[in-house]
Order: sequence, then C-alpha cells, then structure tokens
Amino acid sequence: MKLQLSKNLTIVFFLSLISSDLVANECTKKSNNLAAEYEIQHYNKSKKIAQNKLSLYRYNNQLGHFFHNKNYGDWWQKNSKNQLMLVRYFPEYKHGIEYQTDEISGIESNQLYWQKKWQLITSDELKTMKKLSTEGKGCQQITSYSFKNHNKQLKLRWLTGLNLLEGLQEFHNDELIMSWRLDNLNTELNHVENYVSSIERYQTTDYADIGDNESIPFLSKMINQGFSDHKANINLADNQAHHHDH
Amino acid sequence: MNSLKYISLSILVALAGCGGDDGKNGTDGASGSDGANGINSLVSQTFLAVGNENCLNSGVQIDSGLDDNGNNTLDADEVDATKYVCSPTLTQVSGENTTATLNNTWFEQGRKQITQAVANSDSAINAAGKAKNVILFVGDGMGISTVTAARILAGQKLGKMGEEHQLSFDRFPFSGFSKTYNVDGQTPDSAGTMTAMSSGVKTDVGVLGVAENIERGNCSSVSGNELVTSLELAEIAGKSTGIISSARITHATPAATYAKSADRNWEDISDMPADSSGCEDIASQLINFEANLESRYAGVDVDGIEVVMGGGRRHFLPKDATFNSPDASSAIEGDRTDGRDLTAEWQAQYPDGKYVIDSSSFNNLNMDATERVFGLFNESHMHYEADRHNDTSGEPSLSEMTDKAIDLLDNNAKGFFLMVESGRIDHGHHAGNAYNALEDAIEFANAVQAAVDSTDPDETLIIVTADHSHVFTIAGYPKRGNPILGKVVNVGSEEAALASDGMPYTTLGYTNGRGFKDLGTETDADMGYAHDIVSVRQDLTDVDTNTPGFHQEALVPKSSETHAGEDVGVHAMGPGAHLITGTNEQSLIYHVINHAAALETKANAKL
Repeated sequence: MKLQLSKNLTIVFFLSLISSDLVANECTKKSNNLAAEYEIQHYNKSKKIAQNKLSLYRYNNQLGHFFHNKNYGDWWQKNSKNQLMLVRYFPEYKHGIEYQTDEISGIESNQLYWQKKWQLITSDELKTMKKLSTEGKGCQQITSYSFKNHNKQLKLRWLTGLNLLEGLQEFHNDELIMSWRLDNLNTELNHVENYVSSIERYQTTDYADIGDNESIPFLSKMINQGFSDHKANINLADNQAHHHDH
Repeated sequence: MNSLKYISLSILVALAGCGGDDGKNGTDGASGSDGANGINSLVSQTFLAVGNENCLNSGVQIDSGLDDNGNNTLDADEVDATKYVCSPTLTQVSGENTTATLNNTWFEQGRKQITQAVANSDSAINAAGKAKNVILFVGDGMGISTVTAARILAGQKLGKMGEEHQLSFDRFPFSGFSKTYNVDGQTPDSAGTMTAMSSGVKTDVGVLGVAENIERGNCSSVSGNELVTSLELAEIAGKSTGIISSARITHATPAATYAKSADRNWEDISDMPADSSGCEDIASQLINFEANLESRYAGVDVDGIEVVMGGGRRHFLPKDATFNSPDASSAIEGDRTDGRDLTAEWQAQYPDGKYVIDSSSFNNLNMDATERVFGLFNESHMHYEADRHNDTSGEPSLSEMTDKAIDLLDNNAKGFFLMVESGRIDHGHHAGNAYNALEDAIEFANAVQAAVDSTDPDETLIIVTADHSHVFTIAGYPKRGNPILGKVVNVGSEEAALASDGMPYTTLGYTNGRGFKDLGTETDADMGYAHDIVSVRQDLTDVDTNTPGFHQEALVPKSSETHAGEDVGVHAMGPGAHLITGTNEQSLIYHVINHAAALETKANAKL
C-alpha cells in the first residue's frame, strides 16, 4: 500500500513535471508567434492628455511594431548571421522602405536592440525590478513587479510564460503619468501569418534609391523622418521612462 | 616728379664812349653795377607707363620752361615745351622683358600642353570604324563640382595641395560638355540620360531603352518604342560585350544598355503592377538578353553578354530562404515572386560560364580561360568604396572588376564594348555625404586608369562622363591647399572663417537634402537616413568635418538630396575621341561611339 502510494505520488510528480514542461513548451511556442495590441495613455495631474495604440507582432525570427496613430510600422528580421534588417511599412500605400543591415547595425548591439523590440523591456531591466506576486496559471500566469528610482515609480505586470508585457503604470512623485494596457492578445499562428504575408506583398524601396524616385508621391511624402528615435520600449534608466510612438 | 635744374648766366652789356678823332682810348671807366639775375630755365622728366596715350609702350615725358616764380620747380603753368621719348614696340617675346613669364611653371606647363594638343589634333582619325574596342565609363551623379572636389581630395591624400592634381581622365586629350535634361524633365534621372547615351535618343525620366512616346509605368505603351543600344549593336557585330556597376546590375544606368522597360523600378517581377503581364522585368531581360535580341532581328545569332558584374542578387532569386546565398543580408534574400532562380537559368544557358558572388571566387577567376562571368556581389547595391571592408564575404573594387573584365573581353579578335558605372557616387550625394561620393569618384578614376593601362590607345575609344550632376557646391574663399572636406580657412589665415551668424562653415555643401550629421567614423553614407533631417545652421566649431561620417549642411530640407540640371563633362581618348568637343546633347555620345566603331555598319552586315 505504501509502495502503491509512493508509486502514485511518483507518477503524479512526474505527470506534473511533464505537464509543466508541456505548458512551458506551449507558452514558448505561443510567445514566438503572437499579436499583442496595447493602449497607451498619458496623464497630466491624473487627467488623460493623450492616447496611442501600438501593436506588437512576433513571428519566429521576425518582429513588428505598428504605430496606429502614425499609420506605419517597423518590421525587423534577423538573417542567418543574426544581423538585423528593417522594413518600415505603410499599409495605406502598400509600400515599404528597406534598410540594409549596415544601416541599422550601428544603433546598439543587435541582441539588446532585438530584445527591447521583442519584449518592450530587456530581461536585465526586468531583473532589477522587485517581484511582488504571481497570479493565474499556464501561459496566462502574471507576475507583478515594482521599481522605484528617486521620484519615479513603475508598476509592471508580466505574462511570464509569454515574456510579454501585460500592463504598466508609471508614476512621477506618486502621480500617474503614463499607462500601458494589453488590450488584445492573439496567439493564433494563422492570424500572425496572414498579417506577415500581407506586409510581404507590399512593394519595397531600398533607402539608397529614394533619391532616384522622388517622382513617386509616397516616397517624397513618407520618408522625412529618420527611424532611430521611433522606439517603443520601456527604459528604466531614462527619466522619461517610456519611448513610444512619437 | 624728377626734375633737373640748369642755372643760366646773366649777360653783361658793355657800353663804349664816342666823338672826334679817335684819340687814344681813355682808361676804362669804372665797372657798372651787376645786372639783375636772369630767370632759371627748368626741365622736368616723367616716366610714362605702358598704355599711356602718347607712349603706348611706355617712355619718358620731357617738359621744359622758365621758373617764372623762382620756386625752383617747374610748375604746370611754367611749361613752355613738352617732348616724349617713347620705348620702341616689342617685335618678339624674348630677352629680359619675358624672363618672368618664360620661367614660370604654369606658363611652361601650358606650352607643353599646347604642343601635345597640336599632336593630338594631328593624330585625330576621322575615318569611321577605327575603334576596335569601346569603353564607356559613367560616373553616376558625377557633376563638374564632384570631379573638382574628388581631384583635390585625391591630390591631398597624396600629400599635395590638391588643386593641381589630375585624375586619370583629366589627362584625356579631348573633352566637351553634355546637356543632360530629359525630354520631359529639366533636371534628369539616370534612366533617361543613360538611354540617351546608349541609344542616341533622348527620352523621358524613369524609362529605360524606350522612346518618349512611352507612358511611364504603362506596360502596353512599350511596344513600338523600343530603341537599339550600342551594346546590342556591338553584340550583333560580333564583339564581346560587358556591363559593370557598383550599384545593382538591374539599376537604371546598367539596365539602359540591355533592357526596354516602362519603369526603371521594374527590376524584378514583384516590382511590377498586376496589369503588366505583357512586359518582362529587368532582371529577366538581362538573363534572356541573347534570346530577346535574336528574336528581335531575324537571322541574328549572338552569343550574349560575356561580362556582367555588380550587385542586386535579390532580383534574380526566388522569394524563398532556401535560395539564399551564403552572405545574404536578409532573412529571405530573393524578391522574385514567380519562383524563378535566374542565376540557375543563366548557368543552364552558359554551362561554361562562372557565377561568382564574393571576392575570393572573383580573385580565382582566370579570365584568359573563362568564357563568361556573371558576378553578383551583393543582395542590393555593392558597398561604397570606403565601406567595402565591411562586406561580410568581400567585394571586388570597381577597378578590379574593370581590369578583370577587359582581361576576358579582349580575348575576342573582333573587339569589345564595355560599360562601367560607378553607381554609388550618386548615392553618397543623395545621402548628403561628400566623403563617400568623393571616395567613390576617386575609385572610378582608378578604374578608368585600369582601362587605360590594359588597352591599346590606337584601337580603343574610352569615354568618361556622368549621367547627371548633383546640387553639390564648392564654396567660400578657402586658401589654396585647404582640406577639401574641411571648414573654410581664408587666404592668409589659420583660423576657420566665420559666416555672418558667427559660425564656421564647410567648403563643400548641398543646396538641399537631409543636412548635417556628425557620424564620426561611419563609412556607410546611408546611415544618414537613420537620422532626422536637419535644416538649421549648426555650430561646427568642435566638429571634425573631415571624418567619413560627416554629412554636409543643406539649405533646403528634403528627404534625399537631389540631382542637378547643369551640364556634365565628357572626356575621351582613342580613335574618334576628337569628336567629343563643344556642348552637345547627351545623345551625341551614342553617335560618337557608333562612328568610331562603325557599330551600325558592322551590325547591318550581319543582318
């Protein structure tokens, strides 16, 4: 009987291990192919002053940020040498502008840059935050974190299994100044694939060729800005605390 | 005033007595009192310079008169007579009068050049068909100011002051100017200008190898507007042919030699609109060049282009990662949506041909034993010359490609036609980065020298020109030898000159574009696109403007610096080179090539 009980406990133990592995694998799979839509709100003295939307796409070795209020997105790919390539795409014009690897490699180290785009916050930055609590199960498990630095305070909710931001509040002198909220999350592979294939159909222009194509209205109109400041990630070291579509 | 004084003597008049016989002379009376002093007579001499109305060759004016007022000076109202002693007219340039001129190095240099120019003129051959080989070099966007600045930079890199330096084609015996406008554009683009040079027919902006009745982007308007190019005629005439570009080989300049397209951007099938099924994309036209040319002219049998080297692999490969080259920079290198692998199709057509993608396979080519070469060294454009070291698998330089190409092409006893484009001068300017534009222009000049060194000038016509210019200026009053990429330092000064806003400014600048960037050691001009446009004056006091990553200030903010509409230079050597003279329509270049090599005559003989 004891033996049987012990056997049962062992089976339960291993089943739980297998189950936890299965969940982890499932979460990892989902975390690599998803579309997450965030609502970002800005406050002044607790009054909402601005609202933006950002969609984050992950598709295997590719990722995208779509800035709804600007109506364009940045699509990043890694090549076999782990170098980055960027296409800035404009759905309204069904056109994209391509940057070569060399043109973006100097921004930061590729790995760090990729992580900031993929997770919106780097893993190292997350480690500096204080873990508060955990709730939920499986891929929906959320861990709460907090961070305080001088008069700045962050409260962050993290979907652990998906390595995905669920929510964020930023306070300055205890006053809410900005919040991120995950509005929609779609982990269906088909959904992401359809989005990617729609972007891939856009005509693209190499950045070096823009000067020879000013007769194309889209090019002369849509390329007035550089891309280096169009970040969408959280930065703990920066008192601005957030870089979003601006 | 020089004056000489002469004192005149007073005259004493003696009085004598008289009456009766003359007695003995009495004793002399007492001397009378001295008379009053007479008036001095003065003479004045004045040197007259060359050009004086009385002595055109210079001389001396001699004034004389009495010093009426006794001030020992011959005043103007005392001049009684004026005479001139003039220098004789020079009848020959010799002697001490010309020593300063004859001993001057500029003068001596010019005199030697005239001797050479007379010899060049005497050796000019008017007969058609004397050029067995033709090489057309096109510096994309290499306007006059670019040539000047590149020349100075090249000289300064050699330790000279710079301005006196000569690029390889500066030494060519004949030159002229091309008017670059397109039929529908005051300021042109590469597609229209290269079509003019290749076919002898000016056409619209943005179209390749087709006449002006084309409607850009309308596939159905191509038929009936196709033009014949010098490369095609050379091919029909039995010569070997080649095209080289540091840009994508499907880019406007190289494509205008072999393709007929309603839009320069139809580089592969994915770039074409849905309603263009009756047209063939540019990359496909390159691969099918032989078959297309043979189908256009009944009975013609050609062997295709022997040398194709440049960038642009993406347009030849399917949009499928399994077709990626080892040094692909994108996750999926190819753009083609029709599943065709044109590199494989080329290899199937030419089993003995060599397809190469990097510098090591390029270096291993033995051109004497190679029938043809297809080199695609980059997914998109090849690197800027200054940035070439950053290519992961290595790329050959423009001069290396030129050298290798001639090694292969000159195996044909009937001669060859080669077009070489430096495509990235244009891109450096578009990015507002003079450093890269000029470094590529210098490498372009090196490629020209490689061609001069590898060919017989008696049988090879080499033409060097640009398709269009850029809004690139050399400004201010920098002193001789001032670093061309530096800030203006005026003559006699060691400090940077200040503009009216109290800030220094650079000699080189752009009328429009993305403006100032200080990217330090960055050697890729296109990195400038990663930064926002700057259109306000910058304080350059602490900025090193000589660095590769410095982007010059621009007056008018634009997403990309633009072409300019002024004439470009054309330089030539070899049989028929003397026909490059004066200011002409850009389309004349085709006719010079055709006359020198008798391409039409030789091609017609094959039909």
